[in-house]
Amino acid sequence: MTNFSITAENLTYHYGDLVAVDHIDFKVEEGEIFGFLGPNGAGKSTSIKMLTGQLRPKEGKATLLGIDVAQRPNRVHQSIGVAFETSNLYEQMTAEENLRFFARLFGVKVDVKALINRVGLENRGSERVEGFSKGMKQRLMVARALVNRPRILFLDEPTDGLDPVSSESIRNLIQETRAGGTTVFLTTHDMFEADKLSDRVAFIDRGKIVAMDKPAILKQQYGKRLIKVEVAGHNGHSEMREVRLDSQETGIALKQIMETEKVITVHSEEATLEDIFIKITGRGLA
Amino acid sequence: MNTRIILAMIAKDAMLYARNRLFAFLTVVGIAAYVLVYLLMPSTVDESLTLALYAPTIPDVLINALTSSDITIQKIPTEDELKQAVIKGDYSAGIVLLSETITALLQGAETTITVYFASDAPADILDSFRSVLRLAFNELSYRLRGGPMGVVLRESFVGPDLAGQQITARDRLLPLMAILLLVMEMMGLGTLIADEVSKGTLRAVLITPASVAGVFTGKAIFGVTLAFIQGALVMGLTGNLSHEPLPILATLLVGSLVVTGLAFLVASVSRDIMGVLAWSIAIIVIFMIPAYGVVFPGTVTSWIKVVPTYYMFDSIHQIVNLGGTWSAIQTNLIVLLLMGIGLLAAGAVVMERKLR
Ligand SMILES: Nc1ncnc2c1ncn2[C@@H]1O[C@H](COP(=O)(O)OP(=O)(O)OP(=O)(O)O)[C@@H](O)[C@H]1O
Ligand SMILES: [Mg+2]
Repeated sequence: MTNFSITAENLTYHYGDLVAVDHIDFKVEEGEIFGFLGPNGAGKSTSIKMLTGQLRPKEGKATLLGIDVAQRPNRVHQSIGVAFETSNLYEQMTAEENLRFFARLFGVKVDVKALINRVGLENRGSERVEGFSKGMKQRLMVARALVNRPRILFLDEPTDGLDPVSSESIRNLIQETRAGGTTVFLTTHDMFEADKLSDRVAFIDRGKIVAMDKPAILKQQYGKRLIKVEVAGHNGHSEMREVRLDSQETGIALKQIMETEKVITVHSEEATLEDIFIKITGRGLA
Repeated sequence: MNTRIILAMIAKDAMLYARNRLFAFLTVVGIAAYVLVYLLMPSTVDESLTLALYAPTIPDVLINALTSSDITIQKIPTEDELKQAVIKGDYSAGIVLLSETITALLQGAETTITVYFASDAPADILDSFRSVLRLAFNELSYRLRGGPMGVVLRESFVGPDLAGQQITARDRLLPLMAILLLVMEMMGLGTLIADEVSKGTLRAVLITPASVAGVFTGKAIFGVTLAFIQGALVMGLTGNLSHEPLPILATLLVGSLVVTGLAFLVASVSRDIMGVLAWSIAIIVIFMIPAYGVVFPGTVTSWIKVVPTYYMFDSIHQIVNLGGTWSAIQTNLIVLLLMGIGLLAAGAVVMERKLR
């Protein structure tokens, strides 16, 4: 029997008349990285808030580690870590003081310096957070979410607005954390990130889950795989030829290009998650 | 709710408070300024002598005799009004000269004259009145008859029973200063709470095993302690904790409860720090009104009794200035305790609803 870390059943939330999350169902296995992918306003943050007990669902139920979140929030909170969408650190306290305070709330002993090093904030631990850059704050938010060695880590757009190097280091941290057995629930509107990190992704659009599977399977199911061949055309310009990979004529078409034209480059191209999202919802992720 | 979380919250709030330059500054400078003002104010009373007079008919010679460079006469239409005016503290002394008294005076016969003294008027003022009156009547008698006259001044003390103490202006102001400092804490504490809501740090705290109740308890303990220590410091530094310290400290403690409850309310109705400041200042202005009742006795109107600070001012005034003890302030303490608990509960409920 599989152990599910997160179970959402019929989870629904509306702000007044606006339905933000509309009867969503999913399960996340222990140790899985689950990507929640959707455009602005799709309901990603609202979903995280319900899963972590910050918002009481209007309908449905969230279960973490077998415990009903709405019933016993404090029990659940002991075992989860949450990195919020926007920085909410104590700006007048130092990085170390922030982590130490949260460790006290959890009643855990933690090597604060080691944790700070782990998120790449070496030598900055004794500085006040108010002087930190956005990326540094984001890293500290992740460190704070890890203070209690959570069994489930929730990250709401952890790399939003970061430079590629910072983003990459946070992604590495997420993968390391998962390697330690932690389940990761991650929201993003960055299809590249979702693809790279997630074992499984769910597409959320206007409060509804419209597709959910392993990225590779989604691509197979919805995307067309192509071979793009660049050939030399007339008067020095190059021209592109496209050949579908999953078709019966693939071999013949390719052979014909190879024999009759001057080939410069050959690339295979997969559909991106973004292409698939557009295909399913009729609109983009941005 | 658990102790570890409450202690962690208190330690963190203390750290943030100390690092908030504005409030750390206000606290230190506030206490220093109050103590300084107190010490610089004269410890004796300096009042010009105005004598209230009720006399249905009075010859000029008598008026002239009473009026001197040391004293001014204010005529009052009835004896009862005169008495009330002295009780209210409009005058420190009043004298009644009935027609038959005046006749006896002018004929040189033995007579008794009633002088009303305000019981809370300082002793040196009363002494001045006594000597001025005795002098005036003697002079009159020598001028009229060439010898001393047999006037007996019957002194009647009206107003609160003071056991002969005198109250200086600075002592009248003391409750105002102590309570003002206490009430100002509403701003500091309110800001601290509103800040946690608007910056979202409270959300981060509530995602740990800390519960809303635990967080509020920590903040309430911190707020009450902070306000209490400041009030106690001012009272102690001005030397007013040596006599009856416990009733004073009890007053400051229940007063701090009221202030903390209000800080919760103010923080939950405000969107940001500016909101907290605006609300706090409005409340502080209203809260200072009952102080007039203490600084200028007799000006208290009954609606003032809905303002919690009335009970704080009155308690401290009763103990420090009127020599009272527990029995004099027990009703005040109960009212304050109930108000404090009520405000704290209301503040917590409103805040909890705001967070959901
Ligand atoms: N506090 C709120 N009050 C009213 N409406 C809200 C509130 N929070 C979110 N919404 C609405 O709910 C919907 C879902 O918002 P949510 O924040 O969950 O989206 P999201 O997927 O996290 O978007 P983003 O990528 O921009 O973070 C949006 O239409 C938003 O306007
Ligand atoms: Mg969001």
